[in-house]
Amino acid sequence: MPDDSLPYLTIREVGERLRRRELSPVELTTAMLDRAEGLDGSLNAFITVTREAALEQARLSEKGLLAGHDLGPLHGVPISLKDLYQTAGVKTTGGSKILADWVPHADATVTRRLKLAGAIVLGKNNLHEFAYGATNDNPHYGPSRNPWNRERITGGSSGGSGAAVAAGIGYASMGTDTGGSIRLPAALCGVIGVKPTYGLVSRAGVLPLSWSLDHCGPLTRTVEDAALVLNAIAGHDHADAASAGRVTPDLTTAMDGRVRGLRIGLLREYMGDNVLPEIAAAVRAALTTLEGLGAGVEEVSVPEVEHRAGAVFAILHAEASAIHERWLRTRREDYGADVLERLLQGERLTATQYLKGQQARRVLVARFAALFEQIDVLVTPTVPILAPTLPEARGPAARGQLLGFTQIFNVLGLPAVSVPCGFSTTGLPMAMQVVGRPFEEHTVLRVAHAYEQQAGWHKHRPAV
Amino acid sequence: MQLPADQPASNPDNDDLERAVATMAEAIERLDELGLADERGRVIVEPASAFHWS
Repeated sequence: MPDDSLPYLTIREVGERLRRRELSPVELTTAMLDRAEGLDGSLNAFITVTREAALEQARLSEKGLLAGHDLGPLHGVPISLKDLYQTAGVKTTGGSKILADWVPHADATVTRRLKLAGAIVLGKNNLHEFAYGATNDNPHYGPSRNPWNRERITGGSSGGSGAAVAAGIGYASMGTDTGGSIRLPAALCGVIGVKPTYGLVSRAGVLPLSWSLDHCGPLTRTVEDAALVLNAIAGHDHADAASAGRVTPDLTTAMDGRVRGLRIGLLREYMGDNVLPEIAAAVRAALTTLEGLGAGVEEVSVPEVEHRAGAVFAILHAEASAIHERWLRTRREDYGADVLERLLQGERLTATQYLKGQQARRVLVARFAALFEQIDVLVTPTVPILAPTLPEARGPAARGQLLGFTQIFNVLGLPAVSVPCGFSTTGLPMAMQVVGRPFEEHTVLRVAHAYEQQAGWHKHRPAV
Repeated sequence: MQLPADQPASNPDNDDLERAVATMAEAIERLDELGLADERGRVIVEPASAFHWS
């Protein structure tokens, strides 16, 4: 029967209970739907809760398990999706007024793969409008609230995903990340967030923001849970022109704690007076923990990261405004003020400026390729500040800080995970970012998992 | 604490589109410091994903 421990079990633990028949998918799904509806008044993590569809999926899942048709680790496991992922027969709003009533006919590739793996979709998570912002201050559906402190933002744009996972509503949520939109809410909400290598996970059927910067990935409460979700969704998809033709290894094999001999670089440019001292201290303490496990740590420097802003302006703004060109002509008044302003800025960019951004990307990629001959993973704070209040986040100062350390890795396409590394004196989560070589998710997750298990921050729960 | 001021201001109450665009243009112009002159003619633009949302 459902009990109080259910919301914070790991996917492996919940799977064991399902297979021992101590719990049924219908009981579990009902408990999660009740929790979603009970908490959402204060968290605003969902735009749509799909109770009937979820229960129908749970009934089929239950029949399958009883008949011995086990679909794997996600069979019967409730999850949610950022409302940017197309869901057949279920509204996909993009957090916008423009698509408020849009019901797609088909699932996104990731939606379909998760369902085929047996996952049960509880609903669609709140987000920054069209994923174009870092605060999740959505003018159409309201802001998401941080489970650790309701006065604070979740970060965005996958803010509803971060809030839901942190609050124990489902066992994972799929987010998207164009400049940090998975890692930022993961960091501010105290959970795991993975932006995989560009091309590893299909974006087909996910509302785009920027073709060459968009990534799909999971938010979960543990690194192993993220590995299980990635196992289900990674792999080539002909419907995404950027999809890589890679065979993905079982990422759970990296959950072995073996980091001895790994070379970890600490990026000097993201550890100076641009970081809150409390966060810098937490990251240094985390590296001491990893050193204790046998990893080697050295400080590295890449001065070229200062050009992150120029590259992002050129690429993100141009591509986003191109994607929204038609609605900018026909539905301009239906955008929220901040998103409209960014789209108008992008309209002013020239083709030359856009191409300069893409050229810069080549130089930056080469620079980091050289760096990764010297180290195995790179570590930075995920976010240099603590979760701001909503009024603080609405000011221009916060925005540059929120995405300041994550955007460069979208430009580079490198895999990056945000893992909690402590709590501030005010009780807010802090996090570090672990970045690796292209398609070396296993190394990034190995480091994150080894640290997570040693530090134990994932056992802390918000008072919801 | 010195914090980066590298995003164009975007508070609709006090922002100026021209100022934001100028900030962007300046940051993009500075990309030349990466030695882009050596890269002319070798630009690769990432492939665009297919999307079907309308």
